[in-house]
Amino acid sequence: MGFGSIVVAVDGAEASKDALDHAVFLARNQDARLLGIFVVDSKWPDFIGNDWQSAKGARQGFLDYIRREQEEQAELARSQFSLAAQGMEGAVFSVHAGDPASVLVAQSASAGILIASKRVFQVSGRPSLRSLAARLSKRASCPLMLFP
Amino acid sequence: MSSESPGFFRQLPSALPGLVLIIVTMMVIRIWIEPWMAHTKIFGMSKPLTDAFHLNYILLGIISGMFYRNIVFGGKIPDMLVDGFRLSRLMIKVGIILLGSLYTFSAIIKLGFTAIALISAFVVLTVLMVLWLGKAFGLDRSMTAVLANALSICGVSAAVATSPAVEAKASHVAYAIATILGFGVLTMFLSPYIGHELGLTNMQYGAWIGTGILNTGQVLASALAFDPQAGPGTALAVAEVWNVMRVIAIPFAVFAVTFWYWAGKDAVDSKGNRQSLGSLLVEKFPVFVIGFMAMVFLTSMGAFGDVGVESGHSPSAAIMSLRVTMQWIFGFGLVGLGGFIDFDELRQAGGAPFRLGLLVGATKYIVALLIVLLLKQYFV
Amino acid sequence: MANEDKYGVNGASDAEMGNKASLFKDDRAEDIGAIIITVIIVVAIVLLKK
Repeated sequence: MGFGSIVVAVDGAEASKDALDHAVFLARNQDARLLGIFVVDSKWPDFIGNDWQSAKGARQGFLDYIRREQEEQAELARSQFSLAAQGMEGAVFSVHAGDPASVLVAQSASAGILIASKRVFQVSGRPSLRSLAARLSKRASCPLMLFP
Repeated sequence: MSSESPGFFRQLPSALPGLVLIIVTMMVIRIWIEPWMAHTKIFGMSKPLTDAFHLNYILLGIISGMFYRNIVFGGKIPDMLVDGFRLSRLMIKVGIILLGSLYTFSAIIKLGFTAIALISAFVVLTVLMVLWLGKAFGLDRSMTAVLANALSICGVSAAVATSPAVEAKASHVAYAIATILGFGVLTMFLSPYIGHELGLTNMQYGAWIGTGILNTGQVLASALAFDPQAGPGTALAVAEVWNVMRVIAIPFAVFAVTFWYWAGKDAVDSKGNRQSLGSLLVEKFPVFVIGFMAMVFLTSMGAFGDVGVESGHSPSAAIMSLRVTMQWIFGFGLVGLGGFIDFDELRQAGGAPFRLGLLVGATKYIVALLIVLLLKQYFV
Repeated sequence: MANEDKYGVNGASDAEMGNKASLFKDDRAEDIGAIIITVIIVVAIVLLKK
Protein backbone atom coordinates (compact mmCIF):
# COMPACT_ATOMS: atom_id res chain seq x y z
CA MET A 1 0.00 0.00 0.00
CA GLY A 2 1.13 3.60 -0.53
CA PHE A 3 0.26 6.88 1.06
CA GLY A 4 -0.36 8.75 -2.17
CA SER A 5 0.79 12.06 -0.86
CA ILE A 6 2.84 12.85 2.21
CA VAL A 7 2.47 16.21 3.95
CA VAL A 8 5.24 17.36 6.26
CA ALA A 9 5.35 20.49 8.43
CA VAL A 10 8.70 22.24 8.03
CA ASP A 11 9.85 25.27 10.06
CA GLY A 12 13.51 25.50 9.16
CA ALA A 13 14.62 24.84 12.72
CA GLU A 14 16.17 21.81 14.39
CA ALA A 15 12.72 20.70 15.56
CA SER A 16 11.43 19.74 12.12
CA LYS A 17 14.57 17.96 10.93
CA ASP A 18 13.77 14.40 11.99
CA ALA A 19 10.20 14.65 10.77
CA LEU A 20 11.39 16.00 7.42
CA ASP A 21 14.06 13.33 6.97
CA HIS A 22 11.58 10.63 7.71
CA ALA A 23 9.02 12.10 5.33
CA VAL A 24 11.63 12.22 2.56
CA PHE A 25 12.63 8.61 3.30
CA LEU A 26 9.00 7.48 3.12
CA ALA A 27 8.33 9.40 -0.06
CA ARG A 28 11.39 7.96 -1.80
CA ASN A 29 10.49 4.43 -0.76
CA GLN A 30 6.84 4.66 -1.66
CA ASP A 31 7.32 6.84 -4.69
CA ALA A 32 4.77 9.23 -3.14
CA ARG A 33 4.19 12.92 -3.66
CA LEU A 34 5.90 15.00 -0.93
CA LEU A 35 4.45 18.32 0.19
CA GLY A 36 6.40 20.50 2.64
CA ILE A 37 4.43 23.18 4.45
CA PHE A 38 5.32 26.28 6.40
CA VAL A 39 2.52 28.26 8.05
CA VAL A 40 2.86 31.98 8.71
CA ASP A 41 0.94 32.42 11.96
CA SER A 42 -1.91 34.89 11.42
CA LYS A 43 -3.14 34.88 15.01
CA TRP A 44 -0.74 37.51 16.32
CA PRO A 45 -3.14 40.49 16.04
CA ASP A 46 -5.64 38.68 18.24
CA PHE A 47 -2.94 37.66 20.63
CA ILE A 48 -1.95 41.26 21.32
CA GLY A 49 -5.56 42.41 21.17
CA ASN A 50 -5.51 43.50 24.79
CA ASP A 51 -3.12 46.26 23.97
CA TRP A 52 -5.41 49.24 23.52
CA GLN A 53 -3.23 52.28 23.96
CA SER A 54 -0.31 51.84 21.61
CA ALA A 55 0.87 54.94 19.91
CA LYS A 56 1.14 55.39 16.18
CA GLY A 57 2.69 52.45 14.47
CA ALA A 58 3.59 50.62 17.67
CA ARG A 59 1.12 47.79 17.20
CA GLN A 60 1.27 47.58 13.42
CA GLY A 61 5.03 48.04 13.56
CA PHE A 62 5.24 45.08 15.87
CA LEU A 63 3.02 42.94 13.64
CA ASP A 64 5.12 43.81 10.59
CA TYR A 65 8.24 43.00 12.55
CA ILE A 66 6.88 39.59 13.56
CA ARG A 67 5.73 38.97 9.99
CA ARG A 68 9.22 39.70 8.66
CA GLU A 69 10.69 37.28 11.17
CA GLN A 70 8.25 34.60 10.03
CA GLU A 71 9.03 35.23 6.38
CA GLU A 72 12.71 34.75 7.13
CA GLN A 73 11.79 31.56 8.93
CA ALA A 74 9.80 30.49 5.87
CA GLU A 75 12.90 30.94 3.72
CA LEU A 76 14.91 28.82 6.14
CA ALA A 77 12.21 26.18 5.96
CA ARG A 78 12.28 26.32 2.16
CA SER A 79 16.02 25.73 2.01
CA GLN A 80 15.80 23.02 4.67
CA PHE A 81 13.18 21.31 2.54
CA SER A 82 14.96 21.63 -0.78
CA LEU A 83 18.15 20.29 0.75
CA ALA A 84 16.40 17.24 2.17
CA ALA A 85 14.30 16.59 -0.93
CA GLN A 86 17.10 17.06 -3.45
CA GLY A 87 16.45 15.38 -6.78
CA MET A 88 12.94 14.29 -5.95
CA GLU A 89 10.38 14.55 -8.72
CA GLY A 90 7.14 15.17 -6.86
CA ALA A 91 8.42 17.37 -4.05
CA VAL A 92 6.61 20.66 -3.52
CA PHE A 93 7.12 23.28 -0.84
CA SER A 94 4.42 25.79 -0.04
CA VAL A 95 3.92 28.61 2.42
CA HIS A 96 0.48 29.21 3.89
CA ALA A 97 -0.99 31.81 6.19
CA GLY A 98 -3.42 31.13 9.00
CA ASP A 99 -3.66 29.35 12.30
CA PRO A 100 -1.01 26.59 11.99
CA ALA A 101 -3.23 23.90 13.49
CA SER A 102 -6.20 24.73 11.24
CA VAL A 103 -4.03 24.87 8.11
CA LEU A 104 -2.52 21.47 8.84
CA VAL A 105 -5.95 20.01 9.61
CA ALA A 106 -7.22 21.36 6.29
CA GLN A 107 -4.25 19.81 4.52
CA SER A 108 -4.90 16.47 6.16
CA ALA A 109 -8.15 16.16 4.21
CA SER A 110 -6.27 15.45 0.98
CA ALA A 111 -3.11 13.91 2.43
CA GLY A 112 -2.20 10.24 2.74
CA ILE A 113 -0.24 10.92 5.89
CA LEU A 114 0.70 14.02 7.90
CA ILE A 115 4.14 14.13 9.44
CA ALA A 116 5.19 16.78 11.97
CA SER A 117 7.31 17.43 15.00
CA LYS A 118 5.48 18.23 18.22
CA ARG A 119 7.64 21.34 18.46
CA VAL A 120 7.12 22.52 14.90
CA PHE A 121 6.40 26.27 14.35
CA GLN A 122 7.30 27.12 17.90
CA VAL A 123 10.34 29.12 16.74
CA SER A 124 8.16 32.04 15.73
CA GLY A 125 4.86 31.17 17.30
CA ARG A 126 2.54 31.93 20.13
CA PRO A 127 2.47 29.88 23.35
CA SER A 128 -0.63 27.91 22.36
CA LEU A 129 1.28 26.30 19.46
CA ARG A 130 2.67 24.01 22.11
CA SER A 131 -0.65 22.23 21.97
CA LEU A 132 -0.48 21.95 18.17
CA ALA A 133 0.16 18.20 18.30
CA ALA A 134 -2.78 17.65 20.65
CA ARG A 135 -5.10 19.58 18.36
CA LEU A 136 -3.83 17.72 15.31
CA SER A 137 -4.40 14.34 16.89
CA LYS A 138 -7.95 15.37 17.71
CA ARG A 139 -8.90 16.80 14.35
CA ALA A 140 -6.65 15.45 11.59
CA SER A 141 -8.53 13.38 9.04
CA CYS A 142 -5.57 11.29 7.85
CA PRO A 143 -2.94 9.12 9.54
CA LEU A 144 -0.64 11.25 11.70
CA MET A 145 3.01 10.68 12.50
CA LEU A 146 4.40 12.82 15.31
CA PHE A 147 8.05 13.31 16.16
CA PRO A 148 9.27 14.64 19.49
CA MET B 1 -12.44 63.19 8.57
CA SER B 2 -12.56 60.41 6.05
CA SER B 3 -9.09 61.27 4.82
CA GLU B 4 -7.62 59.97 8.08
CA SER B 5 -9.38 56.67 7.96
CA PRO B 6 -10.68 55.80 4.51
CA GLY B 7 -10.69 52.13 5.42
CA PHE B 8 -12.73 52.71 8.53
CA PHE B 9 -16.05 53.61 6.95
CA ARG B 10 -15.71 50.94 4.32
CA GLN B 11 -15.06 48.37 7.00
CA LEU B 12 -17.66 49.59 9.47
CA PRO B 13 -20.43 47.26 8.21
CA SER B 14 -18.20 44.25 8.85
CA ALA B 15 -17.90 45.39 12.45
CA LEU B 16 -21.63 45.53 13.04
CA PRO B 17 -22.33 41.90 14.07
CA GLY B 18 -19.62 41.93 16.73
CA LEU B 19 -20.64 45.38 17.88
CA VAL B 20 -24.27 44.29 18.26
CA LEU B 21 -23.23 41.27 20.31
CA ILE B 22 -21.12 43.46 22.60
CA ILE B 23 -23.86 46.04 23.07
CA VAL B 24 -26.61 43.48 23.66
CA THR B 25 -24.41 41.66 26.18
CA MET B 26 -23.76 44.81 28.17
CA MET B 27 -27.43 45.81 28.08
CA VAL B 28 -28.54 42.41 29.35
CA ILE B 29 -25.97 42.64 32.14
CA ARG B 30 -26.90 46.15 33.25
CA ILE B 31 -30.67 45.99 32.76
CA TRP B 32 -31.43 42.47 33.99
CA ILE B 33 -28.49 40.75 35.63
CA GLU B 34 -27.28 43.58 37.87
CA PRO B 35 -30.68 44.31 39.44
CA TRP B 36 -31.20 40.58 39.87
CA MET B 37 -27.85 40.21 41.66
CA ALA B 38 -28.72 43.08 43.98
CA HIS B 39 -31.84 41.35 45.28
CA THR B 40 -31.25 37.66 44.93
CA LYS B 41 -30.88 35.21 47.78
CA ILE B 42 -28.70 32.12 47.40
CA PHE B 43 -28.34 29.55 50.19
CA GLY B 44 -29.98 31.94 52.61
CA MET B 45 -27.39 34.67 51.94
CA SER B 46 -28.85 37.85 50.62
CA LYS B 47 -27.04 39.29 47.59
CA PRO B 48 -24.02 36.94 47.85
CA LEU B 49 -22.82 37.75 44.34
CA THR B 50 -22.43 41.46 44.97
CA ASP B 51 -21.46 41.34 48.65
CA ALA B 52 -19.07 38.44 48.84
CA PHE B 53 -17.70 38.31 45.29
CA HIS B 54 -18.05 42.00 44.48
CA LEU B 55 -19.34 41.18 41.03
CA ASN B 56 -20.60 44.11 39.01
CA TYR B 57 -21.24 44.93 35.37
CA ILE B 58 -17.56 45.51 34.65
CA LEU B 59 -16.38 42.14 35.88
CA LEU B 60 -19.41 40.46 34.32
CA GLY B 61 -18.62 42.19 31.02
CA ILE B 62 -15.05 40.93 30.98
CA ILE B 63 -16.16 37.47 32.06
CA SER B 64 -18.73 37.31 29.27
CA GLY B 65 -16.09 38.38 26.72
CA MET B 66 -13.82 35.61 27.97
CA PHE B 67 -16.78 33.21 27.99
CA TYR B 68 -17.60 34.00 24.35
CA ARG B 69 -14.08 33.41 23.15
CA ASN B 70 -13.04 30.42 25.19
CA ILE B 71 -16.25 28.51 25.71
CA VAL B 72 -18.94 29.54 23.22
CA PHE B 73 -16.64 29.89 20.22
CA GLY B 74 -14.03 27.35 21.29
CA GLY B 75 -10.87 29.44 21.40
CA LYS B 76 -11.33 32.10 18.74
CA ILE B 77 -13.66 34.95 17.93
CA PRO B 78 -15.42 33.99 14.64
CA ASP B 79 -14.41 36.00 11.57
CA MET B 80 -17.86 37.50 11.38
CA LEU B 81 -17.59 39.02 14.85
CA VAL B 82 -13.91 39.80 15.12
CA ASP B 83 -13.99 43.25 13.53
CA GLY B 84 -16.58 44.37 16.06
CA PHE B 85 -14.48 43.07 18.92
CA ARG B 86 -11.49 44.94 17.55
CA LEU B 87 -13.47 48.15 17.96
CA SER B 88 -13.22 47.69 21.73
CA ARG B 89 -9.91 49.55 21.68
CA LEU B 90 -11.61 52.53 20.06
CA MET B 91 -14.32 52.49 22.70
CA ILE B 92 -11.87 52.41 25.58
CA LYS B 93 -10.01 55.34 24.05
CA VAL B 94 -13.26 57.29 23.74
CA GLY B 95 -13.99 56.44 27.37
CA ILE B 96 -10.57 57.64 28.49
CA ILE B 97 -10.99 60.95 26.67
CA LEU B 98 -14.43 61.40 28.25
CA LEU B 99 -12.81 60.66 31.61
CA GLY B 100 -11.09 64.02 31.31
CA SER B 101 -14.40 65.53 32.41
CA LEU B 102 -13.87 64.13 35.92
CA TYR B 103 -10.94 66.41 36.66
CA THR B 104 -10.11 70.03 37.04
CA PHE B 105 -6.56 71.26 36.57
CA SER B 106 -5.95 71.69 40.29
CA ALA B 107 -7.17 68.16 40.99
CA ILE B 108 -5.07 66.58 38.25
CA ILE B 109 -1.92 68.43 39.30
CA LYS B 110 -2.36 67.36 42.90
CA LEU B 111 -2.93 63.73 41.93
CA GLY B 112 -0.38 63.91 39.16
CA PHE B 113 2.52 64.70 41.47
CA THR B 114 1.79 61.73 43.71
CA ALA B 115 1.35 59.57 40.65
CA ILE B 116 4.62 60.68 39.06
CA ALA B 117 6.53 60.15 42.30
CA LEU B 118 5.16 56.64 42.86
CA ILE B 119 5.38 55.60 39.21
CA SER B 120 8.94 56.80 38.67
CA ALA B 121 10.13 55.11 41.84
CA PHE B 122 8.49 51.87 40.79
CA VAL B 123 9.62 52.07 37.17
CA VAL B 124 13.25 52.53 38.16
CA LEU B 125 13.14 49.80 40.81
CA THR B 126 11.33 47.35 38.53
CA VAL B 127 13.72 47.90 35.65
CA LEU B 128 16.72 47.39 37.93
CA MET B 129 15.15 44.28 39.42
CA VAL B 130 14.43 42.81 35.98
CA LEU B 131 17.92 43.58 34.67
CA TRP B 132 19.45 41.94 37.71
CA LEU B 133 17.15 38.92 37.72
CA GLY B 134 17.41 38.58 33.96
CA LYS B 135 21.13 37.97 34.40
CA ALA B 136 20.51 35.60 37.31
CA PHE B 137 17.92 33.62 35.33
CA GLY B 138 20.19 33.56 32.28
CA LEU B 139 17.76 35.31 29.93
CA ASP B 140 19.18 36.92 26.80
CA ARG B 141 19.45 40.68 26.58
CA SER B 142 16.54 41.30 24.22
CA MET B 143 14.19 39.21 26.33
CA THR B 144 15.34 41.04 29.46
CA ALA B 145 14.77 44.39 27.78
CA VAL B 146 11.23 43.49 26.72
CA LEU B 147 10.36 42.21 30.20
CA ALA B 148 11.90 45.27 31.86
CA ASN B 149 9.55 47.59 30.01
CA ALA B 150 6.55 45.32 30.10
CA LEU B 151 6.77 44.82 33.85
CA SER B 152 7.58 48.42 34.69
CA ILE B 153 5.34 50.56 32.46
CA CYS B 154 2.25 49.09 30.95
CA GLY B 155 2.40 45.50 30.05
CA VAL B 156 1.53 44.42 26.56
CA SER B 157 1.73 47.89 25.03
CA ALA B 158 5.24 48.41 26.32
CA ALA B 159 6.30 44.93 25.22
CA VAL B 160 4.95 45.58 21.74
CA ALA B 161 6.59 48.99 21.54
CA THR B 162 9.97 47.70 22.73
CA SER B 163 10.35 44.39 20.88
CA PRO B 164 11.35 45.59 17.40
CA ALA B 165 13.85 48.08 18.85
CA VAL B 166 15.70 45.38 20.75
CA GLU B 167 15.40 42.62 18.14
CA ALA B 168 13.34 40.33 20.35
CA LYS B 169 12.32 36.97 18.90
CA ALA B 170 8.63 36.46 18.26
CA SER B 171 8.39 33.42 20.48
CA HIS B 172 10.11 35.29 23.31
CA VAL B 173 7.71 38.20 23.10
CA ALA B 174 4.84 35.75 23.01
CA TYR B 175 5.84 34.28 26.35
CA ALA B 176 6.40 37.70 27.89
CA ILE B 177 2.94 38.78 26.75
CA ALA B 178 1.27 35.61 27.98
CA THR B 179 2.93 36.05 31.37
CA ILE B 180 1.83 39.66 31.68
CA LEU B 181 -1.70 38.90 30.59
CA GLY B 182 -2.03 35.92 32.89
CA PHE B 183 -0.80 37.89 35.86
CA GLY B 184 -3.04 40.78 34.87
CA VAL B 185 -6.17 38.65 34.62
CA LEU B 186 -5.42 37.27 38.07
CA THR B 187 -4.87 40.69 39.68
CA MET B 188 -7.89 42.13 37.90
CA PHE B 189 -10.20 39.74 39.73
CA LEU B 190 -8.21 39.61 42.96
CA SER B 191 -7.68 43.33 43.56
CA PRO B 192 -11.30 44.46 44.08
CA TYR B 193 -11.72 41.64 46.57
CA ILE B 194 -8.55 42.55 48.51
CA GLY B 195 -9.45 46.23 48.35
CA HIS B 196 -12.85 45.64 49.90
CA GLU B 197 -11.51 43.26 52.52
CA LEU B 198 -8.88 45.77 53.64
CA GLY B 199 -11.43 48.57 53.56
CA LEU B 200 -9.30 50.73 51.26
CA THR B 201 -10.62 54.13 50.23
CA ASN B 202 -11.02 54.96 46.55
CA MET B 203 -7.84 57.04 46.66
CA GLN B 204 -5.80 54.29 48.33
CA TYR B 205 -7.15 51.63 46.02
CA GLY B 206 -6.58 53.72 42.89
CA ALA B 207 -3.02 54.50 43.89
CA TRP B 208 -2.32 50.86 44.65
CA ILE B 209 -3.62 49.30 41.45
CA GLY B 210 -2.38 52.22 39.32
CA THR B 211 1.11 51.33 40.54
CA GLY B 212 0.82 47.58 41.05
CA ILE B 213 -1.10 46.24 38.04
CA LEU B 214 0.89 45.84 34.85
CA ASN B 215 -1.60 46.31 32.03
CA THR B 216 -3.42 49.60 31.82
CA GLY B 217 -6.55 47.97 30.44
CA GLN B 218 -6.65 45.85 33.56
CA VAL B 219 -6.04 48.85 35.81
CA LEU B 220 -9.11 50.42 34.27
CA ALA B 221 -11.15 47.25 34.71
CA SER B 222 -10.18 46.61 38.31
CA ALA B 223 -10.78 50.26 39.26
CA LEU B 224 -14.31 50.02 37.90
CA ALA B 225 -14.71 46.61 39.47
CA PHE B 226 -13.91 48.11 42.89
CA ASP B 227 -16.28 51.03 42.45
CA PRO B 228 -18.40 51.12 39.28
CA GLN B 229 -19.16 54.82 39.71
CA ALA B 230 -17.53 57.40 37.48
CA GLY B 231 -17.02 60.68 39.28
CA PRO B 232 -14.32 62.84 40.83
CA GLY B 233 -12.47 60.99 43.57
CA THR B 234 -13.67 57.53 42.56
CA ALA B 235 -11.18 54.68 42.19
CA LEU B 236 -11.56 55.10 38.43
CA ALA B 237 -10.65 58.80 38.52
CA VAL B 238 -7.60 58.17 40.70
CA ALA B 239 -6.29 55.11 38.88
CA GLU B 240 -6.71 56.73 35.48
CA VAL B 241 -4.35 59.58 36.37
CA TRP B 242 -1.79 56.88 37.05
CA ASN B 243 -2.68 55.26 33.74
CA VAL B 244 -2.26 58.43 31.73
CA MET B 245 1.10 59.12 33.34
CA ARG B 246 2.26 55.61 32.48
CA VAL B 247 1.10 55.91 28.89
CA ILE B 248 3.07 59.11 28.52
CA ALA B 249 6.11 57.33 29.95
CA ILE B 250 6.20 54.63 27.21
CA PRO B 251 8.40 56.46 24.68
CA PHE B 252 10.91 57.40 27.38
CA ALA B 253 11.08 53.85 28.68
CA VAL B 254 11.50 52.44 25.17
CA PHE B 255 14.35 54.88 24.62
CA ALA B 256 16.09 54.03 27.89
CA VAL B 257 15.86 50.27 27.50
CA THR B 258 16.84 50.39 23.83
CA PHE B 259 19.86 52.46 24.85
CA TRP B 260 20.81 49.86 27.46
CA TYR B 261 20.40 47.05 24.93
CA TRP B 262 22.54 48.58 22.21
CA ALA B 263 25.14 49.87 24.64
CA GLY B 264 25.88 46.27 25.58
CA LYS B 265 26.23 45.04 22.00
CA ASP B 266 29.26 45.10 19.75
CA ALA B 267 29.44 48.25 17.70
CA VAL B 268 29.91 46.17 14.56
CA ASP B 269 26.64 44.48 15.10
CA SER B 270 24.44 47.57 15.29
CA LYS B 271 22.81 48.36 11.99
CA GLY B 272 21.76 51.87 12.88
CA ASN B 273 18.45 50.68 14.26
CA ARG B 274 18.69 53.04 17.19
CA GLN B 275 16.19 55.84 17.20
CA SER B 276 16.61 59.22 18.82
CA LEU B 277 14.37 60.19 21.72
CA GLY B 278 12.80 62.87 19.54
CA SER B 279 11.72 60.49 16.80
CA LEU B 280 10.49 57.97 19.37
CA LEU B 281 8.37 60.69 20.99
CA VAL B 282 6.83 61.65 17.67
CA GLU B 283 6.27 58.05 16.68
CA LYS B 284 5.15 56.49 19.94
CA PHE B 285 3.24 59.31 21.64
CA PRO B 286 -0.40 58.32 22.00
CA VAL B 287 -2.49 61.13 20.58
CA PHE B 288 -5.63 60.28 22.53
CA VAL B 289 -3.88 61.61 25.63
CA ILE B 290 -4.12 65.05 24.01
CA GLY B 291 -7.87 64.53 23.75
CA PHE B 292 -7.95 63.68 27.44
CA MET B 293 -6.02 66.86 28.28
CA ALA B 294 -8.37 68.93 26.13
CA MET B 295 -11.30 67.47 28.03
CA VAL B 296 -9.68 68.41 31.37
CA PHE B 297 -9.17 71.91 30.01
CA LEU B 298 -12.78 72.27 28.88
CA THR B 299 -14.07 70.97 32.20
CA SER B 300 -11.83 73.32 34.18
CA MET B 301 -13.09 76.23 32.08
CA GLY B 302 -16.62 75.27 33.04
CA ALA B 303 -17.71 74.29 29.53
CA PHE B 304 -20.03 71.62 30.90
CA GLY B 305 -21.26 73.49 33.96
CA ASP B 306 -20.62 72.63 37.59
CA VAL B 307 -18.42 69.57 38.17
CA GLY B 308 -19.66 69.27 41.74
CA VAL B 309 -16.32 69.02 43.54
CA GLU B 310 -15.44 72.30 45.23
CA SER B 311 -18.82 74.06 45.16
CA GLY B 312 -20.72 71.34 46.98
CA HIS B 313 -23.55 71.63 44.44
CA SER B 314 -24.63 68.57 42.60
CA PRO B 315 -22.99 68.33 39.19
CA SER B 316 -24.70 69.75 36.11
CA ALA B 317 -26.97 67.65 33.90
CA ALA B 318 -24.37 67.60 31.11
CA ILE B 319 -21.67 66.32 33.47
CA MET B 320 -23.99 63.61 34.77
CA SER B 321 -24.83 62.42 31.24
CA LEU B 322 -21.15 62.37 30.38
CA ARG B 323 -20.52 60.07 33.34
CA VAL B 324 -23.36 57.73 32.42
CA THR B 325 -22.13 57.61 28.81
CA MET B 326 -18.64 56.85 30.02
CA GLN B 327 -19.81 53.88 32.11
CA TRP B 328 -21.63 52.38 29.15
CA ILE B 329 -18.70 52.90 26.80
CA PHE B 330 -16.26 51.31 29.23
CA GLY B 331 -18.71 48.48 29.68
CA PHE B 332 -18.78 47.83 25.93
CA GLY B 333 -15.02 48.19 25.59
CA LEU B 334 -14.31 45.72 28.37
CA VAL B 335 -16.59 43.02 26.92
CA GLY B 336 -14.44 43.31 23.80
CA LEU B 337 -11.25 43.27 25.82
CA GLY B 338 -12.37 40.08 27.56
CA GLY B 339 -12.87 38.57 24.11
CA PHE B 340 -9.12 38.76 23.52
CA ILE B 341 -8.16 36.81 26.63
CA ASP B 342 -7.32 33.31 25.43
CA PHE B 343 -7.05 30.62 28.11
CA ASP B 344 -5.07 28.36 25.79
CA GLU B 345 -2.34 30.96 25.34
CA LEU B 346 -2.21 31.72 29.06
CA ARG B 347 -2.05 28.06 30.03
CA GLN B 348 1.00 27.50 27.85
CA ALA B 349 3.03 30.33 29.35
CA GLY B 350 6.06 29.00 31.12
CA GLY B 351 9.81 28.86 31.41
CA ALA B 352 12.24 31.38 32.82
CA PRO B 353 10.42 34.48 31.50
CA PHE B 354 7.28 33.27 33.23
CA ARG B 355 9.01 32.75 36.57
CA LEU B 356 10.76 36.10 36.35
CA GLY B 357 7.58 37.89 35.34
CA LEU B 358 5.59 36.33 38.12
CA LEU B 359 8.27 37.11 40.71
CA VAL B 360 8.65 40.75 39.68
CA GLY B 361 4.93 41.26 39.10
CA ALA B 362 3.97 39.85 42.49
CA THR B 363 6.70 41.81 44.28
CA LYS B 364 5.53 45.02 42.68
CA TYR B 365 1.88 44.29 43.44
CA ILE B 366 2.57 43.56 47.12
CA VAL B 367 5.10 46.37 47.68
CA ALA B 368 2.71 48.88 46.13
CA LEU B 369 -0.02 47.73 48.53
CA LEU B 370 2.34 47.97 51.52
CA ILE B 371 3.42 51.48 50.54
CA VAL B 372 -0.17 52.62 50.18
CA LEU B 373 -1.00 51.12 53.57
CA LEU B 374 2.08 52.70 55.20
CA LEU B 375 1.36 56.12 53.77
CA LYS B 376 -2.33 55.79 54.48
CA GLN B 377 -2.75 59.33 55.75
CA TYR B 378 -1.50 60.77 52.44
CA PHE B 379 -4.03 58.81 50.41
CA VAL B 380 -7.37 59.71 51.88
CA MET C 1 11.64 20.19 -6.66
CA ALA C 2 8.95 22.74 -7.28
CA ASN C 3 7.95 25.79 -5.33
CA GLU C 4 4.44 26.88 -4.76
CA ASP C 5 3.67 30.01 -2.80
CA LYS C 6 0.32 30.46 -1.21
CA TYR C 7 1.03 33.93 0.09
CA GLY C 8 2.75 37.01 -1.20
CA VAL C 9 2.95 36.02 -4.85
CA ASN C 10 -0.54 34.80 -5.62
CA GLY C 11 -2.00 34.49 -2.24
CA ALA C 12 -3.42 35.92 0.91
CA SER C 13 -3.93 39.63 1.33
CA ASP C 14 -3.15 41.35 4.60
CA ALA C 15 -6.77 40.99 5.59
CA GLU C 16 -6.78 37.23 5.02
CA MET C 17 -3.55 37.09 6.92
CA GLY C 18 -5.37 38.77 9.76
CA ASN C 19 -2.38 41.03 9.81
CA LYS C 20 -4.45 44.14 10.27
CA ALA C 21 -4.73 44.96 13.92
CA SER C 22 -7.56 47.41 13.60
CA LEU C 23 -10.18 48.85 11.30
CA PHE C 24 -8.04 51.94 11.13
CA LYS C 25 -5.04 52.69 9.00
CA ASP C 26 -2.83 52.80 12.08
CA ASP C 27 -2.99 53.50 15.78
CA ARG C 28 -2.81 57.24 15.34
CA ALA C 29 -5.82 57.15 13.03
CA GLU C 30 -7.62 55.18 15.72
CA ASP C 31 -6.69 57.85 18.28
CA ILE C 32 -8.00 60.59 16.02
CA GLY C 33 -11.14 58.55 15.40
CA ALA C 34 -11.64 58.30 19.16
CA ILE C 35 -11.25 62.07 19.51
CA ILE C 36 -13.78 62.71 16.73
CA ILE C 37 -16.32 60.33 18.28
CA THR C 38 -15.83 61.97 21.67
CA VAL C 39 -16.42 65.40 20.17
CA ILE C 40 -19.67 64.15 18.63
CA ILE C 41 -20.82 62.64 21.95
CA VAL C 42 -19.89 65.75 23.92
CA VAL C 43 -21.57 68.15 21.50
CA ALA C 44 -24.71 65.99 21.47
CA ILE C 45 -24.87 65.87 25.26
CA VAL C 46 -24.23 69.59 25.71
CA LEU C 47 -26.91 70.46 23.13
CA LEU C 48 -29.46 68.07 24.63
CA LYS C 49 -28.93 69.07 28.24
CA LYS C 50 -28.83 72.83 27.87
